[in-house]
Amino acid sequence: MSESYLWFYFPLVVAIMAVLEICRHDDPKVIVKRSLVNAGILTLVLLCGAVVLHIFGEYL
Amino acid sequence: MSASSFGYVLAGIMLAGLAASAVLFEREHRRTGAAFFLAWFVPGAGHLLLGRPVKAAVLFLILSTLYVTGLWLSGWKLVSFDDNPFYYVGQFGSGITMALGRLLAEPKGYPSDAFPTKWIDPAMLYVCVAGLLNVVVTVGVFDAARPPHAPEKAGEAK
Repeated sequence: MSESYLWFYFPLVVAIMAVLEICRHDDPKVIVKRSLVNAGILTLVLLCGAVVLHIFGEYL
Repeated sequence: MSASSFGYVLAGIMLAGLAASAVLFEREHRRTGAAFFLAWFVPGAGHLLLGRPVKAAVLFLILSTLYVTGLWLSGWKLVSFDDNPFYYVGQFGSGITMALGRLLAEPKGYPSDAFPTKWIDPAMLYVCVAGLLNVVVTVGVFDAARPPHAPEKAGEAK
């Protein structure tokens, strides 16, 4: 059931990004937009890393 | 150094900083020093003191939700300092989470036969992140102390 831990990933990342952006900006629209964009970028980077590791583990 | 003595030392450092800001700084900087201490103790309290109530409420809501979610996942008990020192110390980013962690972690809740849980890892992560994020919020008090419409520095990201 370790994959169930993924349910906790996105709320945590969005909360982290939101706090970081709240500390930098005052405009709520900017905060929401940049939080979601940064969370998406981080997720993409992690997914790319996971794919690379999977390819290495599976075929190399 | 044990967890409790580390916590007392940290609280002493924060109180010493508060006292130093009251004695050494000019009036407007004293307020920032007090906000710095308050922000460490209660998430968002520093922003509230500096006249940013909305930011303060949102920060408190986010961080307290993270912390309470972590506590809920762990069955309202956390691990001891001896078992997971890094996660435990992460709570020290906020005075109130440090105090609650100290109260709720004694006696040791996990691991034990009477405390089965499969969510202990995300629970510890949520609680630890809530404390660590408050470090960012505490340092961000100095940025919040600027006038609301002060121009941003040239070259700063839009």
